[in-house]
Amino acid sequence: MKMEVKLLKEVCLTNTEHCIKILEVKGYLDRNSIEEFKNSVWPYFSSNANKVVLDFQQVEFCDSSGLTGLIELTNKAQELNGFLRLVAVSDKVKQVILMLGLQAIISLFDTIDSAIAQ
Amino acid sequence: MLPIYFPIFVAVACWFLGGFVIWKQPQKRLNQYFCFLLVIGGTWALSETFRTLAGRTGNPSFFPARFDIITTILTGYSLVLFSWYFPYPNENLAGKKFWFLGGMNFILLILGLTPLYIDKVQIINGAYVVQRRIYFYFFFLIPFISQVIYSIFNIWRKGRRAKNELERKRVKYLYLGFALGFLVGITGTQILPAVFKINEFTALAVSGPFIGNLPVAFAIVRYRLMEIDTVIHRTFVWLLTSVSVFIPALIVFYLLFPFFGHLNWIQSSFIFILLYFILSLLQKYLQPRINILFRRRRYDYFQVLAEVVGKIGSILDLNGIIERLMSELMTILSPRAIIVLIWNEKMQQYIEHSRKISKSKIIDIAEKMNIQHNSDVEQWFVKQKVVMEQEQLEANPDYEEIRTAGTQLMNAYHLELLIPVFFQEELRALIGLGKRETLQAYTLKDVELLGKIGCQIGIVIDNALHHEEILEKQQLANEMRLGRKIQVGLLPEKTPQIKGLQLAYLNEPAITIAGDYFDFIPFGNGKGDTTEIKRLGIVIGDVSGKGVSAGLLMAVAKASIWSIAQVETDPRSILVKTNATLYQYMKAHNFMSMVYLDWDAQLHQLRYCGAGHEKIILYSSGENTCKVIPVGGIVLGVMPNVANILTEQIVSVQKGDKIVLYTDGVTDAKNNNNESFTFEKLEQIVKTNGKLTIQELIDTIKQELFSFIKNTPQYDDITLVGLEINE
Repeated sequence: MKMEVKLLKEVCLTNTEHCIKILEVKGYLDRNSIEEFKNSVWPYFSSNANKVVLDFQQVEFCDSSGLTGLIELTNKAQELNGFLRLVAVSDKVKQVILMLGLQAIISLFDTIDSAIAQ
Repeated sequence: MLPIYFPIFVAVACWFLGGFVIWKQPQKRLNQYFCFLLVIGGTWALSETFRTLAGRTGNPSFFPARFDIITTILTGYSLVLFSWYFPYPNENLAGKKFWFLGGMNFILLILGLTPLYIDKVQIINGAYVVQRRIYFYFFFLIPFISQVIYSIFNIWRKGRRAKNELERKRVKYLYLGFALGFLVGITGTQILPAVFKINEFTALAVSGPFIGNLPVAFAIVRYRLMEIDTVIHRTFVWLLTSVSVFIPALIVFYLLFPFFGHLNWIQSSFIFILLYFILSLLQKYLQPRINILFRRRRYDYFQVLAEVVGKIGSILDLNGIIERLMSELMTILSPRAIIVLIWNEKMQQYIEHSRKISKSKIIDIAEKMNIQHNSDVEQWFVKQKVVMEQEQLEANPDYEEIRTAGTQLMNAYHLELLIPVFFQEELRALIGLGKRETLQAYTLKDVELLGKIGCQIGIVIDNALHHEEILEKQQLANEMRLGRKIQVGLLPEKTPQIKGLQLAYLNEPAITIAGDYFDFIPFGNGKGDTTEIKRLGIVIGDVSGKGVSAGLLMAVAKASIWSIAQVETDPRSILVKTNATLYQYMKAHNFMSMVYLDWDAQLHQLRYCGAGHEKIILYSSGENTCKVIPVGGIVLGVMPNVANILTEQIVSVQKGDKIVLYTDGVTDAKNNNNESFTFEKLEQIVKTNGKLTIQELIDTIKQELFSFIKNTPQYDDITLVGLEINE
């Protein structure tokens, strides 16, 4: 299954220091695609643009390897004083995240607006 | 002196051989040349016969006299054609030249047949005397001589430009043939009749083209213009066909001869053409039938091929294969040298693997041969997929893009042939062959055979190349099996006995290494005495991901839990400390979910702490219901400290209550239709069979689970742990 990462838009708010990048993720996130996923998302982080929101609406599947990838990216973002937020995560994936207790690390939001606002 | 009818034999034989070669392979220019030459020879022979016979019978006819001019014109034209194609085709050969020369010669031929040219034919003292119109004679003679001069010049020019010994030799033989043919022809037609004043040397005269052809034929056989077995094959076929056609033809000819002599040129031509058609029909009928008799010869090559491939195919290691291949090729073709190049994955080029040199020590180049990846030579092989022939490099248009690079490579190592070895469309090896010991060129059949060997041994060489790789893989697979065995050995083999609690479990390891973990950790009276277990830790966990890393981390988890459990007593502290240990190794690249239950036999109390693991299914015997308890917490190994997140709970249990713990290998187990077993189904089974003992319940789940997945390969560990409160 293919995995795809695409930059949707860049939101710059006047009262925040940096711009937030919103990326759309498609397809399967598993052990076969996780490296590609990480390599695709990581370039959007930089010292002056370290806030990224991932739109997960079109992610059909995400297993534990996918989650480790997300944890890794989140930790890296935090090191840069930024964040990685997930939006519109499917119920199935959300259930897994909640069961593993990973909501403590991975921030989940319902809408892009709410992810940007906070 | 040969009998008077001998030239008729020769004539008919010539026509048929000419017809045969052109019929067999009309597109071959060389065959066209042969056809011309042979028809001329035949016609000449016939004209001489007519002339002699007319002289004897005293009956002059216009018809034989015209053979002179026909022969002359055809000879000139065929010489030009020949010079264009021998020893290799002229560059820039275009249709215009053919049409111009062909047209000119055709007009001359027609003019030659008319009475314009022949003035008078007389029989003087029994000799056939033709009186020509002298101007017209020159009119015919000049184009003929020009064509002869042009052909000689053309071949001389090619000889000058010859790039190798082979071509020079061909030209030499060609000149020898020309000279001999000319000499014999002149002797038979001009010198001997002039000296002896008789006209009976026609047989010698007509043998001129034949004798002239001998050196050319030698060059053909030796330097491969036609392969020797084809020559032999065709000669046999031709002889048989000619004899079977010629004998009836001769009888007809003999019976009708008196009738022929009186005819004028139109009538003679008509009969001549008619006869030609009848004979060619007869020949066409006989030819294929005789050809069938010689079909068997073709199989010899296939037999050789099958033998070579059979012998090589049974060898497994690469060196053995190459050694065998080289000695087989030495036996069949006796080349002076064989060089084998094999594709080297690491170096990304074709590197010389072995070399075999015959006694003559022709190759004294110490440097090893190699061909670069994506070089012109490689590209050419990939595109053409045929054997590269040194001889063809100069003139063959298929070799256009490789002409320089190919010639350099072949000449540097004195190679005649370079045979590609393909496997699945990929070039895997190259086999270079030097000149043959006999100096005889490789025949087309040889090249064909070598090409086929190249195709066939591709798979053998590929197997050999992968043989070592396969061995390594097997070794690795063995190691993995051993590792798997050790890993499974880390899990409990039996359930411990403890007051108030009955235990059961199911552990079905996956076909590959996975990370499921479960354990029973007994605690005695606190002084290391575990004979009577006072407390029992029950652990189930699952490392994310699969493979060796998951297996190793599972082992680390077991070791750290056991050591931590010696100092800590409550489940939460044990998991918090285990997390700290696991975090060092996992650093969020992996994680491990876990539930730790602690049964205190004295307090009759069940406590637990969850770390992001699957739910606990609690069957309550009193109410005959199932309660699903999410374990909460966070998986281990993703955060350095989870003390704030993990919590400890107490499960209130009564006698007969049952607890089922599982890993996702159970709920995610797939059947052939890729459907999952699901949590709901597991819960339903527990609910329906809650009255059974814990062992029976686990067995029932096992039965249901395996009848669901049937033969589908199991890619994840399946672990179930069951607890029953029996007091």
